[in-house]
Order: sequence, then C-alpha cells, then structure tokens
Amino acid sequence: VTTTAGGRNVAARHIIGPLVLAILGAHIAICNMPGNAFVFDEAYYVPAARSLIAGEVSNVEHPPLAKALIALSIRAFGDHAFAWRLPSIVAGTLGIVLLYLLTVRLSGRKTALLAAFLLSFESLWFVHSSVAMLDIVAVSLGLWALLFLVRGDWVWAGAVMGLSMLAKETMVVLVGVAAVYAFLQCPPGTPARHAARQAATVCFFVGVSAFIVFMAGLQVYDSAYGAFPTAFHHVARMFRHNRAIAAPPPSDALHPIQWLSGFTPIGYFVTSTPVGSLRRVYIQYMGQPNLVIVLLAWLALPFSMPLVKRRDPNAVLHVVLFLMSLAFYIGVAFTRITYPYYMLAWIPSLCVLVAVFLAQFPRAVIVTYGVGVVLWFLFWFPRNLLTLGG
Amino acid sequence: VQWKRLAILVVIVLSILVVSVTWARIRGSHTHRTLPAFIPGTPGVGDRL
Repeated sequence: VTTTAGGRNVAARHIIGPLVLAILGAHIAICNMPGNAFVFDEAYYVPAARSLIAGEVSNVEHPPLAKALIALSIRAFGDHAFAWRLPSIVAGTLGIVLLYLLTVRLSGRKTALLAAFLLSFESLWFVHSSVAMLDIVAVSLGLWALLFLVRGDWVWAGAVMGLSMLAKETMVVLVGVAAVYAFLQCPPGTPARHAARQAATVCFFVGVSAFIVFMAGLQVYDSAYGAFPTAFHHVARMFRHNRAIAAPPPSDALHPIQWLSGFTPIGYFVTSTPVGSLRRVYIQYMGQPNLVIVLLAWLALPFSMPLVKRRDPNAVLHVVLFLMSLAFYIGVAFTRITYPYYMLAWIPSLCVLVAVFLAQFPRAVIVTYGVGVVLWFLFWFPRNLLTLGG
Repeated sequence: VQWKRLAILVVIVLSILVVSVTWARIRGSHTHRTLPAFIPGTPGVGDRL
C-alpha cells in the first residue's frame, strides 16, 4: 500500500508541472486575441489602469490593486493586449498551483492533483484568467491567504486577505470563512463556548490584519492620487456606489441560486461570419462555467457533509467557503444586480469538493469523467477549435 | 506569537504608509483630481461589481 501511495505521490508531482505549463501555454497562445478590442469588462479596467499611469482618478468603486498590476504590466511591456491580460494569466495559473498546495496540505496528493486538474479545465476560471479583470487576482490571493490560514499563520493570512480585498472588496467574505473554519476545527465534543472563543481569536487576528492592509492600501492610493481625504471616505463611496445599483426583479436577472443549475452563456466577446443561413463562430469568450464540474456540486456537497461532521479540515474549509460565498451573493442580490462570474470566488472550493467525491471511485470512472471535463473545456475554448481547419 | 506577527505587520504597513503619503505630498501638484461628483442612481463608468 505504501509503495502504491508513494508511486501516486511521485506521479502527482510529475503531472502538476506539465499541467500548469500546458494551461499557461494555452493562455499565451490566445492572449492577443482580440488584440485591438476589449473583452467584456476590460472596457472598464484597462482604461482605469491607463488612468493610474496618467495620474488620474477613476473607477474608485473598486480598490486599485488589480488595476495597478495591469498598469505595471502596461508600463513594462507596452499598451497592448498581452500586457493588459498578463496579471490575470499569471494569477490564474498560480491559483492552480496554490489550490494544489492547499489541498496537498489538507487532504493528499491524489485529491490535490484532481482538484488542480479540474480548476485548470474549468471554463470560467480559464476565460477570466485570460482577460484583464479583477476577480482572478483577488481569488488567487485569497487562495494564498488560505494557505497561511491552515498553517495557523493568522496574521499573515489576514494580511494576504487584505491584499485580496485590495484587488476586489468582496473577498472580505474570507474573514468570516476563517472564523467559521476555526470554530469547526475544534474537535467534536468541544464546548461551544470554547469553540466560539477560538473562532473569535482567529477572527480578531485575521480581521485586524486584513483591515490594516486594506485600509493602508486604499490610503496609499487616495494620498497619491488625491482621490479622497481618507480611506474611510473611499470605503463610504464604495458603499454608496453599490447601493445606487438597483437589483432587478428576479425574472430579469440571473440570480445566484441559478448559478448551480446551468444558464444561457453570456457572450463576453464573440466574432462570427455568416456561412449560408448559419453563422460560424471563431472567437467565443463566454461567461459560463464548465457544467461537467459545476453540476456535480449537487452530489459532491452532500457527500462532503459527513466529512464536515467528522471535522475533516479539507471538507470543512471548502464547504464553509462555498456556502458562505454563495450566501453572501444571494444576500447581495437583494440589493443590487449580481453577475454569474462572481461564482469564481467559490469555483476553486467546488473543484476540491468534486475531487474528494471523485477520489472514491475506480480509476476508469475518474478518467472517463476527466475526458468529459476536457471535452467541455475544448468545445468552449475561446478560440473555437472546430474552425481551426478553415 | 500572533501578537508579535501583528506588531511586525503594523510596523511594515505604517512604514509603507508614511513613505508613500510623504512622497505623495511632495509631488502632490503633479497629480490632478478628476473624480466626478457622485450622483445616486447614476453609477456611470465602472458600474460592475
């Protein structure tokens, strides 16, 4: 048994490197496509990065870190598509490595490799790692923070969560995740008061560290650009902005509770030409997850509950993150519109839960399922592979 | 040990803050404030979360 497990560990080590390099290569292959147009909300964030370079204030409703990385990339490589998208490409690829390392620590190499494989071929993660937006930088920093958290480095976990919030403020949900994780990590039978005290301690160190880094980061921006007198004024503006965006009636918007049931893909950037009475699509950046993975949530989540009851740290962390993040956006949906790509916050956790579920099956089942995941990914790859021949 | 780490973090963050705020004040005249007034109900550019 030891030999087999050891063999699997060596195999996992040998596979993760080529897997990550293959995904990085796929990003590089399409990073200039389109080269002269914005994909989806790049239309907001690339101009915001240009404003940062020009010393102008813009897009203050979101914190500046991810846009600053785009600006740095533009300064380093020039104002073109590769430079706009490089920070997301790097963050999205590193996110796969971070999820692997996190899962190795909490579960094992087999589950970690499966989770990394699923995240690599998760369509929404790949598409958003290919475009100059905020989410992938924020979530990958969040994964780094979780790595500190599970090592018991609460202050550094909070500090990196602060950086994650500086990329996108909604990552504040991770502070709550840390507290609930700490509560549920107390062994079964621990008095509730004792567990609550432990959760409060973790919440204090993580929360204070995140708050310090987040507010200081905002203050650096506000002072450098003269945007607001203090970071507190800046946060107040973010709140006012989000409250001003109305929530459409449930029938008019894709509600977070629909994210797990499949939905009509949202075209981020699509080019097509007419062929007879049909249209042939060449570029297809679509806002939709890999449903072969996402629909398995309905089995993976219930399967994880006995593990949560046994206080398995891997299941506890990812079930808590998945449910709290989903609940957060369901709450947000009451006051303002939500977009399906917000699910990126919990996509890595879903990949881990699906990996745990899959790991119990024979290898043939896992391989068959993996083929389905890759086929979906290839079919919805941003460059329509069916049209490569002409 | 967490208190010690928190103290280190505070020192690092405060150092960065002091240096950057001082630098910003020195070159303050070079940046120009172009933030439009906020009008509730009209989010304008960058209205996605």
